Amino acid sequence: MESKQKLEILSRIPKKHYLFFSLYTFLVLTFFCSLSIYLWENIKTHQITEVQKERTLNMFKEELIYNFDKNKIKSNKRILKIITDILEVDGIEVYWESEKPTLTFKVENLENKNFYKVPFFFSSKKEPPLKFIFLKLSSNGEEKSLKEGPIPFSILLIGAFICILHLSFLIWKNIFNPFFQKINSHINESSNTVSDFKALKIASEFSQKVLILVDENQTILNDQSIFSNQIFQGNIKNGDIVKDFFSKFLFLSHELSRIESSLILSFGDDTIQFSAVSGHFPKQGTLHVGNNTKHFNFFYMPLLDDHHNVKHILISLIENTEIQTLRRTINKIKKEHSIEKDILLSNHKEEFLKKIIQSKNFIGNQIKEINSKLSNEFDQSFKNMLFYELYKIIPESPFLKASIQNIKVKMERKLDIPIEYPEFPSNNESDYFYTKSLVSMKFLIFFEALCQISKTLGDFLINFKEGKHEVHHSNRFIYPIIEERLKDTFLLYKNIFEMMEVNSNEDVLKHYKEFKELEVESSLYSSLLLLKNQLVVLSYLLGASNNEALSSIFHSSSEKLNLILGRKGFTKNSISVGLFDSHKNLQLKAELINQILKTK
Amino acid sequence: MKILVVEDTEEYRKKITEALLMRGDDVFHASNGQEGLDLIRNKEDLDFIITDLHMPIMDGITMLQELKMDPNYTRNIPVLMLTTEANKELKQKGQQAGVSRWLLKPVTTQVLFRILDSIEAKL
Repeated sequence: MESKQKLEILSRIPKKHYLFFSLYTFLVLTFFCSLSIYLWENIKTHQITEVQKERTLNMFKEELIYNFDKNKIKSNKRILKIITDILEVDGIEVYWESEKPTLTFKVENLENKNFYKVPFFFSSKKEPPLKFIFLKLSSNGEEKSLKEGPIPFSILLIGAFICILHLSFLIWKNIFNPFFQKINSHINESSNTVSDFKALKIASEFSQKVLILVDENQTILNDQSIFSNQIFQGNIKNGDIVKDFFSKFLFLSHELSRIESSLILSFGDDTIQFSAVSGHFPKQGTLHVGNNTKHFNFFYMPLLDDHHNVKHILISLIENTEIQTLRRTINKIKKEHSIEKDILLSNHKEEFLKKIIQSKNFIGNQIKEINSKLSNEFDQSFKNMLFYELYKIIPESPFLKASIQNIKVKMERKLDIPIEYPEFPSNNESDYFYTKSLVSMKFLIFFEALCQISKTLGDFLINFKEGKHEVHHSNRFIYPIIEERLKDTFLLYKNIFEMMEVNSNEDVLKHYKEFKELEVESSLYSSLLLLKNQLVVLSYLLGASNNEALSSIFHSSSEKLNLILGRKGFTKNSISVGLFDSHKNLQLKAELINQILKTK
Repeated sequence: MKILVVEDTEEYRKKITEALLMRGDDVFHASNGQEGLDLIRNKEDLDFIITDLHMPIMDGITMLQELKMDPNYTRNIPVLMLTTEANKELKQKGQQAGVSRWLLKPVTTQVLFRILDSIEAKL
């Protein structure tokens, strides 16, 4: 257990302090070691000499002074030798009226060896001009550097000072740091919150959004912008989010109670809990400001604490009064004109077109007006949101979408020659899109489909010729079946071709009703379907006769026809309508080419 | 997961049970807190409890408190509390009794599944 505790203590020491820790341990050990040796030596010396020291020196003091006065050094040396013998020391230094030794006596074994210096002072008040230092042979005599113990005390003191400094730092860090950290975090937190609040106010002012920060006590924390104050007719800071904010909107009491419950269940928990109850927060609200009614969209964002729990909720409100107004206008127009009806099938085509053009112009003007209003605003996202909302509410009016997108929609397929109907607008891109989307969508679908059919049939003709030649040599058992199928298919193709030729007769196509009465569309459609099936059968037969290349060509042709027949809008009815329109368009094209040729 | 649904309104209980069965859970149900308590004590392999707050005979929180006080019952099953309203006191009581998630009625299947998925991930 103890060893575990020790390990735990060691593991708590940061790695960067390992060097200091080892140095500290070394210095402490050395310090105590040196101190104990020094004290032991000192005590030992004291025990031997202290009793006799003063008495002995007093005995010789007068004689020594006399000899120094008379400059009889040899006599003094002899006296010193006697003293060393009496006091059992290894040498004596005598200071005669000086700070430097005047006379030194060392026993033979002290020469060139380390020794301690033990100073002696006379206890009498009146000190003689003599001072004595006793020399004692060091127990570790071989180390030259040890003059006053194992390590000089000055070095030990410096080491101890460093260690004390370092220890102080560690103690300061461990004891006071948490305290300072707490203060710092508090300061940072409050300064962050203050700066957050300021940022919210600025953001609210510039983006013209109401931004509200709520804490778990359901208190509004942030100062409100001028924009916000105008809406709520006063600063709602420190107010209750339900009583002072939500209740100002036209919510029923049970709705308010639900909001309050949702808020209570959101705070102090993770984002999963927030998402579980946030569905009960209102998404939209209506507010009466003076004589005006304003509509707002609500957005909620949880702000988390260090433990990833919801600490604050940021509520942002974006006004969408204009969108609501526009939505109502559009619904009104839609009701009046019912633009979803198929114009081409209507008996009052011209009247319908006029109404739609009027609607288009009206809504276009509305959008332009809103756009100009918003052009000077800071917040681009609000503008985008408005157009997104507009885009969403009119899914069945593609021409309006084109207007909203600022008439930048690029066409997948452009007609080289515009269709010149008298009641149609000019041939700019938006009007073309308008024309395509509303008036002759079916025509375009079929025109596109017709091109594909022609291509498929053309491919088939080439394949048929090549196929006939190749298949003949490939497989004699399958060949008769393939040949039979090819003949049928070729005949079918011819029939389709003839059907199309017959229907392009101008007299027949003059009037739509007459065209419809011909009832050719059903046989044309079924012929195309049959052709597709024939192509599939041929593809399999050619595959079976190891003509992979031809098989894949027929398969691909059948797939193309399948796509054409299966596409939306390509019904039996649309074939007839489309055929009529496409023929007319081809005629216009032909006329134009003729005119160009004539002028050239 | 093996889930116990404690709900007094039959229609609502049925709705939740159907949703959980669709999700592939094993569902047990009780119509009040007392029934729920008996079921919890007998079913040792329950993974999750969905309980209503206000019920006749015994409410949801009392059921959980009884369970917590029972020295023979040592399991710690996550609990989802369904309620129509909430206040701070109620939330605190529920947390002490062992409620890990709260939902306000009416609950959509999507939200319920999201909660269950998060619980299942922790199991």
